[in-house]
Amino acid sequence: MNDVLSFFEGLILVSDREKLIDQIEMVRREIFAVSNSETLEQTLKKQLSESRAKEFFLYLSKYKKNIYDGHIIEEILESLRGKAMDLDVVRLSLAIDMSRSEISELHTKLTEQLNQRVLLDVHIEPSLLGGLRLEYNGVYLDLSLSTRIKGMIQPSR
Amino acid sequence: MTYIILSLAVFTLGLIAVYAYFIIKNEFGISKYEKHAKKKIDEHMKRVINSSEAVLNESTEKMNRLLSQTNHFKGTIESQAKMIFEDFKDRYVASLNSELASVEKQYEEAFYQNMKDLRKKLDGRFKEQMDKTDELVEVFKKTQFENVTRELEAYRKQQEEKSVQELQIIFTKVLDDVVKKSLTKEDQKRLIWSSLESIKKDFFSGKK
Repeated sequence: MNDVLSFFEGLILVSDREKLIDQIEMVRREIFAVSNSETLEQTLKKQLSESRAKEFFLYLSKYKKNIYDGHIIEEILESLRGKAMDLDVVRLSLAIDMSRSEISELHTKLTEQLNQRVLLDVHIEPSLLGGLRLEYNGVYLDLSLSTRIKGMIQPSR
Repeated sequence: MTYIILSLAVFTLGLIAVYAYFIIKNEFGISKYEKHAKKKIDEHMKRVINSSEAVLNESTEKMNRLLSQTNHFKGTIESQAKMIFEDFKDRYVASLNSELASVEKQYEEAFYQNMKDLRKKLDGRFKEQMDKTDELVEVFKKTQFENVTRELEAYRKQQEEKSVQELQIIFTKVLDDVVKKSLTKEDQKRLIWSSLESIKKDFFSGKK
């Protein structure tokens, strides 16, 4: 996993993974479009941000193989795609909308608690009033304010 | 000619005279005999009639006597027959009545015996039925009571739950409104963080 750390550091939401998958697909297509006059890095820079293009180039270079061999690159990209798809998803329901940086903090905290890298599938549900509700690997945890209020009102059985 | 005519005339007259003579002679001769004969016959007839009348009267008298005797006998026979019939009738009726009474008695005894047997059987069956009915009534009472109790309990529970649910809905709505209005965005964020931090570290790994 360490070799893909740079890629996955920015992956917080499920939508981020979808974006990465799109980029992998794009790189896969561009590999075959590399002309003799330019390097792979230059080709990728045309389509991706400079940092992302560098990341891809460095990742591919780590294998110390002929990175101009299309088939080898395809295998590497497919492996990267598979690793991204293997990431677990935590469904997180919140009462309010939060900024990307706030969500990122929550993600970091959850990653710590779960002791593994996960992706967040964030849903805004105002009916929760406050707090959160999350679902991970079949485990359901409701820490919403609405449920706490209901619990206060509901008589004990 | 004249002679002839005269001769013929004399002859014709002679014939007429002879014919007249015989006619007259016959007429007077028969009448006399007949009168005599008639007289004789009448006398004879008178005697015969008288004799017949006497015989007839005698016969009538005898007939009347016989008739009288017959009527007498008839009356006697009738009265005797009547007496015999009455006597026979009385005896026959008495015998019939006695037989009837005997038969009636037999039937009556048999009837009462049958009735007694029937009554005994019915009493037995009635008692059996009553026992069964009592058992059924007990079961029914128990079941009904249990059913009613159960239904009442279910109804009470349902009403209680309904009331609680209604109250919950009202309270929830009120609290929701209060919370919604009073919570700031910062409060919300704090709540999220505190919720997240309240999760025990091993919660997910433990459930996994």
